[in-house]
Amino acid sequence: MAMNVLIVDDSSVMRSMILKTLRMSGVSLGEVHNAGNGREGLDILDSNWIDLVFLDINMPVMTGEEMIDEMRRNDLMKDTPVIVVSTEGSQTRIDQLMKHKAVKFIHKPFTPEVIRDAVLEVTGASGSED
Amino acid sequence: MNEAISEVLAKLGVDSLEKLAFMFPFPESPPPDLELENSLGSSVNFTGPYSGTLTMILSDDVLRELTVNMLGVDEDEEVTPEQLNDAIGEAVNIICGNVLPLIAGKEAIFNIQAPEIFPGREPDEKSLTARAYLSIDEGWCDISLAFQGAAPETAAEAVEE
Repeated sequence: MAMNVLIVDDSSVMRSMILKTLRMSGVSLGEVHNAGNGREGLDILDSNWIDLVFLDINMPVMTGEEMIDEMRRNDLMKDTPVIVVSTEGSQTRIDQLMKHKAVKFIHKPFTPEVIRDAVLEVTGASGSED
Repeated sequence: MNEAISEVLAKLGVDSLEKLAFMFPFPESPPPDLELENSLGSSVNFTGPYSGTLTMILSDDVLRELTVNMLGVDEDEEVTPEQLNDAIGEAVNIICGNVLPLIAGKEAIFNIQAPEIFPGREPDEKSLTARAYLSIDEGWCDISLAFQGAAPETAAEAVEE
């Protein structure tokens, strides 16, 4: 079943790369939405059905962590799976993020297989048409 | 120059360019002078247990190929200066995010600033802790790491462990 995804990253090139890699991974995609920061991401979540969010952490206006906090406070968004895609290298920070924000973490750079496995883990289905 | 950290930089540079853009760089000794005429650089400052700057300089052809491949567009498609800047900024950010845990340990917490973009310039060898030069087809990639103050000895130990 096709998944509607939201990709939130202040780099338009990285957003394109995440989408390209998602397509290579075999995940079945429905609507794809893009946002340049957490605030834009929340606006899109507010007005669209989103099955999965890919989220950078360090962004202007609203960071990824702030966006996750807002999502968790909103009954309509709180259960939306989130995959954080970041350059964060500190295992301390990664563990805190995963534990307290209930997200999956992918480290940049990533391969299609890593994205596919992460999608499977957080959604319970790869969405593959195979 | 710290050879152990330079090797780590080279390996990360190779790995990152392979995963980001399906490119296949080869580490080489840097030439006496970089061909800077057609190149672009990006650097990120970081603070934490150690502070410093990671810099990446790419020849124009390598930068274009990196950008095109990250975007997933055709080779001959036009890319904007903003996209080129974005691509090199992301690449240097990624390498920095990956090299710091290898030097300082996985538990260390660093803050990495937003990347700065500038015309290619020769690295100041005297201030460098580590440097890696990668050859990619007809182009090149130069990655250098400079700590503010002397690099602590534990940095080298962490890499060699």
